[in-house]
Amino acid sequence: MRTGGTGANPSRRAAAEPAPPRPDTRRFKPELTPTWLHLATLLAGHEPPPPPGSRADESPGPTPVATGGYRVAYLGGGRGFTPAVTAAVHPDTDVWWWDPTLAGAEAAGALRDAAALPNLTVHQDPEVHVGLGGGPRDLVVIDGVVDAVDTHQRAAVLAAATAALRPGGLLCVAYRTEVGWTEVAPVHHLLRHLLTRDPRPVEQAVPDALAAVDALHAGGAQYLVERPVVQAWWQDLRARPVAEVLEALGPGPLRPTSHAQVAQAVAPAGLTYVGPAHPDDLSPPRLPARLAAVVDDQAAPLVHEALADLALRRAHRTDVFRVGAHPVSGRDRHRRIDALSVTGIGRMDPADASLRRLVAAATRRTLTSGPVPVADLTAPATAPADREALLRTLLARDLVHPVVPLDDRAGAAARRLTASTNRSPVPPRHRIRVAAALGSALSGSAALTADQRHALGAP
Amino acid sequence: MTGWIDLPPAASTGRGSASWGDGYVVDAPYFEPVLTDLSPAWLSFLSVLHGQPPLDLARPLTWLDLGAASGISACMVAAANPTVDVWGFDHNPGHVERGRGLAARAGLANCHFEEASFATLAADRTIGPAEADVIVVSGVYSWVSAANQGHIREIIRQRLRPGGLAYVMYETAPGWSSMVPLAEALRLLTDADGRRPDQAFHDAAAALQALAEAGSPYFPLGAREQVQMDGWPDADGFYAAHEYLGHHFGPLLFDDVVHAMGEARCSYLGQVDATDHLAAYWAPPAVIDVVHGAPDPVTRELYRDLIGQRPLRRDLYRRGLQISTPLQHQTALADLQVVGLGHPFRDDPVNVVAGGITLDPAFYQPLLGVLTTQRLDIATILEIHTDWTFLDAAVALSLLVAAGYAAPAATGRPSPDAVAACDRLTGVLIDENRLGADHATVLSPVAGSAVEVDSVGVLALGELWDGAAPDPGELADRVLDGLGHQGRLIRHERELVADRDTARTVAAERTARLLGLLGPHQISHP
Repeated sequence: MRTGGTGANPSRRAAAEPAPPRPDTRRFKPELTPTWLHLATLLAGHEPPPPPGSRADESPGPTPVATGGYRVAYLGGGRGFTPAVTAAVHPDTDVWWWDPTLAGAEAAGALRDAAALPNLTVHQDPEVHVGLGGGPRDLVVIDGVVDAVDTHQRAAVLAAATAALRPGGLLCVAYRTEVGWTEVAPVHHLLRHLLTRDPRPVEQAVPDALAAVDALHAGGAQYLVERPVVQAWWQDLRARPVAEVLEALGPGPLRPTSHAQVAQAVAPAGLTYVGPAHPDDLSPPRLPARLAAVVDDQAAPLVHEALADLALRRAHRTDVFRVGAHPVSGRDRHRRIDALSVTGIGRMDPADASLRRLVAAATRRTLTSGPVPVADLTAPATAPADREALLRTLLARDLVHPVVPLDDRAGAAARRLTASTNRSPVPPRHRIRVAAALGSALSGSAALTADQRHALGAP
Repeated sequence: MTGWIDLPPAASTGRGSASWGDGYVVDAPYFEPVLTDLSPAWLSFLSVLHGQPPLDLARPLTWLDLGAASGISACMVAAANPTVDVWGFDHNPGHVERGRGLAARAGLANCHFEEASFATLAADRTIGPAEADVIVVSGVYSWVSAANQGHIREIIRQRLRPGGLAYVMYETAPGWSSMVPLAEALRLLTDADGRRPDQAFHDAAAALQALAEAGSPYFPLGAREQVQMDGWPDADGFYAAHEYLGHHFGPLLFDDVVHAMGEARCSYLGQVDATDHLAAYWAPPAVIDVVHGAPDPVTRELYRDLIGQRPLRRDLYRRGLQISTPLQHQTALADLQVVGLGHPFRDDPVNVVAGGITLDPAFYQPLLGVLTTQRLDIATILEIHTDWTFLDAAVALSLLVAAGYAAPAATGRPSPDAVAACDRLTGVLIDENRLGADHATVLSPVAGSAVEVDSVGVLALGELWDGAAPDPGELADRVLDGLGHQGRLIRHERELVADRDTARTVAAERTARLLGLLGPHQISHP
């Protein structure tokens, strides 16, 4: 499901040799759509907002949306693919998008115009606009930003986001963690410093900046040669072509943050942590028993998350917060999860023994042809908790995705947006296929059957 | 050898009292050591080494400490420099009370402490002096919020006179980066604990040690940070609380600080380190060309910080730069004087990023000989080493300071007021050590600062002042007797020494050095 790039959460690989933290350079992030975030909220045992299209317009804002009343704001995220997809697959949803970079806003504006997405507003400004386009929002997504600004600006962004949410609304914050990136930051900072002071176009300046750090490395600069993670990151970066180096360095500084900092910043506005949204984090972390014992020994939620991040060396987090606590009982949660429809989106390799154990052959066949209720993923006698665990595993492995009611306008917008996003010079790894029935998009290289393409409204 | 004083458990108030602390740990007091190189004489000396004019030490100066903690360094400056108007500001009333008490007991009328936040000081120029010649920010800048860092810079912008010096100390990311998430985890653990932070620290540290031992891939840390973590079980809770548990623990990078100080109209001179002006030692040979080829000083410093994984920077800034002719600079260098610190010649190299600078005893022992009886300057060095150049002698002078053999000297002969004030403050430190404190310095009017003699030396000076003979063995016995009555032992190489004979040998060695410092050239012996 994660479309191109390096979306997998690399920090989850606990190996003897440290894995380098890798930037998430995906232009579209499926875990940041309303569809996915509502599911993540329910899986975490909390009440999601009414989904897009399910509610009559109740917005008192200056620019009321036509119907549905669902309002979402995206802050950051580069070129705006994710807000554009959301606008396309939910035509009645008001999508407001802000990015501090001019290049990102220009790209998103062009995308909106090319795909004719009237419900997408693009706002470019160095400072975040308080109010986020007016009116209360059901969902605010912060994609990066808080890991690329100083603490003052971070507070401003989080304050603007929390102030814009309606009661029961969701805030999703995706960021690079201090655990994953703190050691890399000084070298990243030096590279950006060298690039900033070079008067040449940045593409021309990159080789010399890299060469300067190479010279320090070759000369035995302790920070570069004595820290395994820094070594691994540097080797990973040096193996990339210039364009990818720039992409990896990102448009802004690297100022990673932490769950505690984000959670404590939004808590005064009444937001409580719901759970993770990243697919990798939907299934329980596979910690060795000794590590799990240390982490689970901590009752305070912030401490638990901090130690879990250390235990996993987690480099990225996608945290979901809710305005006001509204837990869903376990029984109700299972009932509602069972009633969800999901469809297959990835190739279920018949040779994958673990998959054969998880999903019956008939179900695998069904998943490749159309939506299936979660209740039908397992035999009727299966315990709901086991079925939920299966669903989490399938979601984490990009094999299934929830489906949403298909609407003709969404299908048409999805086709327009797919065509727009895939025009040259978009590199193949960034191409996507907008799927209205998923409320999301798939990688352009996703292998779908004809039945799936038809069912998903994915050209 | 810091002056930590145990507080009884009954003093615990838990964390609830800290709500006014703006993220800084205020419910555990911080008794910092004397920092001798914050004195006007030291900073002026370094200003000259970095190519700028000295402070005009002949006129009354104003010295201001932002975040003065318990005020012992401010008291040092005030005692050793009675014509300097000294101000210490701190947000923590416990610190202000301690500073005022110290100044009052030492009779330091020129030393003032005020309870004020950085925000208050930045907003109200009527608090304290309107202008200052020296502003020091030690142990504060990388532990407070970005907003407070801004207030500090604003205070410097408003109050530092043109030509004034600012000292800004902060922890740097190349030596601390992997500690950042751990410091946050420690803080969260101690917050959840409910006890006072210095009391909760060790349990919090144990939880993270357990995480490491259980195989978390986050460990091992960078080498420098791992040394810190390995020391947690024995760490003093008060120190640890202030080091790690503030909400704003955040090592910084040089270019962020230098640009921010530019907003305060201050220019970077160099490190508060007597070797920092010696470009040949900026980096090891394998990478020195890269450093020398850096396109600008900021890039050069970023390189150097990574090369040595520097954990701490002590930056010296000046409000306005002067362009001196070579002759003017040479004249300023020729005026520099240093005083001896009583150390015999050792084989230890002077540690620099490049590795170590080995001092040739054939050259340096004669200089140390002079330092036992008089001040040393470049002219005197050239009289001893007649084949040396002026530059050779200037380098030697700075290496003597860097190696700890000498300290910059105050201008002229110390006044009777300075001698008396230093004696009074030293007497206070002696009294506190007799009650269990661990002060390791005594005041030196000749240096305009203080001299490190370790806590045994401080106690030995007290015995001398009480009439003991200037004999190392006798002084050692009297110190050990005094400690023994209190059930205390001395510590040698981090271990407590229970055996009396061994303790006597150790104490006598330390006392012998103290005796070498007594007299008109260094420590007063009334």
